[in-house]
Order: sequence, then structure tokens, then C-alpha cells
Amino acid sequence: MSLKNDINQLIEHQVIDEQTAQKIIAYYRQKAEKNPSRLLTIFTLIGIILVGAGILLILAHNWDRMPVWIKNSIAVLPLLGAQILGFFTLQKKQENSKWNESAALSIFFGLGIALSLITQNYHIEPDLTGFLFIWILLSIPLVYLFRSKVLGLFLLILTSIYGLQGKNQSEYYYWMLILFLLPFYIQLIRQKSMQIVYFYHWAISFSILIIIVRFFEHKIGVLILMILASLYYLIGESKWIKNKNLFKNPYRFFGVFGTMGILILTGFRFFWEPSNSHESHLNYSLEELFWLIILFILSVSAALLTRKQKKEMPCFAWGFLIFGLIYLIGIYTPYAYILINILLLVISIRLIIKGEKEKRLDILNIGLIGIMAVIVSRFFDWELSFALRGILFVLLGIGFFAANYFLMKKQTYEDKQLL
Amino acid sequence: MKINNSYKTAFFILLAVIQLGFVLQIIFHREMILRKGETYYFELAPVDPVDPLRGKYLDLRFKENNWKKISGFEWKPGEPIWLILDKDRQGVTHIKNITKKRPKDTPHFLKAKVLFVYDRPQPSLEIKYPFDKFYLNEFKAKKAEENYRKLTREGIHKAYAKVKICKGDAVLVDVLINDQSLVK
Repeated sequence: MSLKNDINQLIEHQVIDEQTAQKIIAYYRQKAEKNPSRLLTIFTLIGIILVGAGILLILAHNWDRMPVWIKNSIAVLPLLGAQILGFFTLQKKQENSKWNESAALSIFFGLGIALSLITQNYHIEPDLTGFLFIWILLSIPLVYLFRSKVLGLFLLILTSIYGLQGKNQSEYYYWMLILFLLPFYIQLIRQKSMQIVYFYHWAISFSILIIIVRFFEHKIGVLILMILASLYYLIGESKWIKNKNLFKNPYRFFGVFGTMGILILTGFRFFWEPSNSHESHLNYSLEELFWLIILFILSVSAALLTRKQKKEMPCFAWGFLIFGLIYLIGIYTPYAYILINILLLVISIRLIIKGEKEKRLDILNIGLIGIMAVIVSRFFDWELSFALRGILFVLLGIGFFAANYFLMKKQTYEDKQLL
Repeated sequence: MKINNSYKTAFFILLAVIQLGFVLQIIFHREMILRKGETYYFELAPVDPVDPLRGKYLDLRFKENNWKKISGFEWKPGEPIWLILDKDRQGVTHIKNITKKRPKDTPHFLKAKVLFVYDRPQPSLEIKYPFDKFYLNEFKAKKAEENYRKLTREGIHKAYAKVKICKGDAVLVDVLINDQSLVK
């Protein structure tokens, strides 16, 4: 018990008195009693997932000696059993999250088992897209009925897989399924205290990103991606999701790294050179045009909304407008890459200044990476000797190290002054 | 709160009925075809003897999978077509005609899909049959593969897919090689 050891030490060194120590222990004991079954819940859920997946695998084994009615019963019974469990949960255990999660997951797997077994029993060709669609659609209401956060996450992932199939218009039905799941996601965000909401942030933002990227066929996709990156950044900045930790705020993560990545890529001259007529910057498909317009409207409105609340607008929020202008210039001249490099340089320097001011190593380093990218990408355009390139790399490395070292040193110095 | 709860229960029961109903409807539909449907034998094309079985199912390829009389219409891959069927003296099924609409004057037809459309050497389309995979027990699959190799080595090899068809919908029942069932 490290807590007890710590408290004993604190008493020994007379940091706290005996009474405070008792109070602290009582507080933690009470907290533990309130929340005894979290681990049990997790194990129950893992158990159900394993058993469900196991049954699916055993059934894939396909026993053909059994009469068809037994096979059909085996297909339907798990679903029926899970539904009875669900009914019982709704009647008697509605407040118990463990029961709710278990019931929702059991019915979900029951349905999957039934569908996959029957398609095998009758040698129905397993059209994965159709199968997934029915499975997801008939499972979504369970998320709301049982407030099942785990199933919701499962369905988000499954919906992404379905959308990526790209068969039978699955990329369009994908949006319908996501729309059905969205209210639950918003509910979770509003409840605030939920840890699982971070997983939802990642699942939703990544899922939408890959579905949109799938459409891209032409260079204009890069422009659309830039607008999406800005939109993500603005969503990440909104008061509902705002979290400075990049890993708990994937919208911000994709916004920052998406913008920087695209600027670094388009900072190379080859991107702007019209190698053949097919690669023109103005070629677009209908889907690309659709996303360009929709995302542009969304990003501009999000930027205007954010502007109302905040005085200072970070460069990731308006970067797409300047990038769009440069993109238009790029239609006429490949020298647009110079403008991109200037933009990347301006953003990077602003980031370094901001990182230094707010003493944030992560912001400082993103800015440094930007500057390094500008310098390194010039290597490819200028014919420099290897020795010179080597020296430049060494200098960059030293600069990178030094900037980090001084900021860290400054931070510890100021921390000490505070104490 | 209580009213809310009973709504929830009612909605759950409705959902459960839809879920079960969907599954049962597939079973009943297929069982109906098996009971009321007529039996047809489709001749299979020689399968690649090196790799006849893919995992736990047999990939079926049909001898009549190409249709050359397709002038006058525009055909697209993926669109539904109806194969009008005929049986020869040995009881083997042949395609008599292909239409874009469900035939009304004959009960002998099967709903399928266009797989590919070719312009050269002459306009033709490739048919995607609704039954092109035959599931096998994973232990039996091995034995079936050996059987299949043996039969193809012996030379005389005629393979058929035994299918029940009712009102255009089909259920694959068995695969026969030299009149021998693959599952028995």
C-alpha cells in the first residue's frame, strides 16, 4: 500500500497530523467502496467479447453432418438468449452499467452469429458489405437502449470498415450510420467526466478522415485535406473538446500535424510542376468538388464562430485560406512552392515564439520541425555538395538540441524560483 | 420515469422482433425454396486443379458463364439479369435466353447479375451466379480436395452444381463430381 506508506512518511516528517491522515485514509476508502466493480466490469466485458468471438470462430467450422434445423436453432438461440438477458436488464437492472453493457454486447454478438451461420447453412454468398450494414443498423438502437459505450465504440469502428469497402454505395450509407451514432457521441461529450470519450474522439475523427481521403483522385485532394485539417483544428479548439493534450484531443492532433505535413509536402517544387496534363491542379471529380465546397463552408463558419469568442486566432485556423490562394497561384506557376515555404516559415516561427512564451516544449518542437523541413527541402532543389549538406544537417541537429535544452533549463529555473 | 421505462421496453421488444424476424425470414425463404423449388444441374467448368479449394469453401465456376447475344441493350456490371433456363435430355441445365426484366411467361428462370461486359472480340457479358461458393467442413475440405484431384487425374470428370430454384431465387444444395456428392 503505497498510499499508507506515503501517509506514514508524511506523519513522521510532521507534514500532516494524525487527524488529517485519518481523514485522507477515510476519503480514499470511501472512494474505493463507491467504485468497487470497475475492474470486474472490464473483465466481464472482455469475457463476453472473447466468448462471442470464440463462438463465431467455432461456427465458422461448419458442421455439415447436423440436420439443418439444429444448425438453424444454434444460429438463432444465442440471439434469443441475449435478447431475454436484455429484457431482464431493462426490467430489473437498468441502473447497473455492467448489466447494460453486457446485454448490449451479447445481443450484438448474437445477431452476428445468427447472420453468419445462416449465410453458411444455405451457401449464401457472403456479401460482406450487406452483412455489415444489416448488423450495424440492427445494433445501433442497442447503444441508446442500454447506454452502451463499449458497443458504441465497436459500431463506430465497424461502420468505418463498412464505409471503406466502397461496394454497393457503402461510402454513402456510411454517413447515414455515422449520423445515427452521432447523438450518442454528443451525449458522451456533454457528460464530461467520461474517460472513454477520448476513444470516441479518435474513432470519429480518424474514421471521417479516411473516408474522405478515399475519394481523392487528383491533386486538389491536398487542398481539401488542408481545409479539413483547419476544420479539425477549430473543432479541437471548441469549448466542448478543448484539451491541451494532443493525444486526448485528436482533432487538434490532426489539425496541427495535417497542416504541417501538407505544407512540408507542398514545399517541394515537384508538387507544383505539371509533369503531364492529367496531373493538372484543376482536375477534379464530382466527389472532390462536393467535399471542397462543403468543407470550405464548414471551415469558414467555424473560423468566424471562433473569432467571435477569441481575439487571437492561431495560424492553424486560417492557414487553409492562404494555402487556397497559393494553390490558385500554383495553377499558373510552379514557383508557388516559394510562397508555401514562406508560409511554413512564418507559421513555424510563430509556433517557436509561442512555445517559448508559454514554455511548451511540444509547440516549440513542432515549430522547429517546420523550419527544419524548409531547410531540408531546399537541399533537394539546390545542388549542394554532400559535405555541405552534412554540415547543414549537423548544424540543424545542434540547433534542435539547443532550443530544447534552453527551454527546459528556463522552465526548471522558473520552477525553482516559484518554490 | 416509469412511462419512459415502459416506452423503452416496448421499443426494445420491437427491436428484438425485427432482429429475430430478419434472421427467421432468411431461414423461411430458403426452406421454402428447398421444399417447393425445382432441381437444376448446372455444369461446372474445370477448376484449377492446383488450387480447387479456397479455405473452407469451393469456388465454383460455371461452364455457361458467358452470353454473346447482347445486342440492342446497354448492359452494366452489377445490374440484375434473369436467366431463362432449359434442360437437355440428360437433365443438365442450359441458358436459353437472358432478359433485363423478370420473365412472366415461364417459371424456369434464375435471378443473377452481370459480372463483366466485354466489347471485344465480340460484345458479350459474363454472368455472376448467385451461388458461387460451396461451404465445407474444414476437415472435410481436405478430403474433398484429394477426391477432386483423384477424379480429375482419372480423366473422366463431369462436375455439376445441384441447385433448387423457386421463383427465380436459388439455394445451392450440393456439388457432384462424376455423380458423386462432395459432402457425403
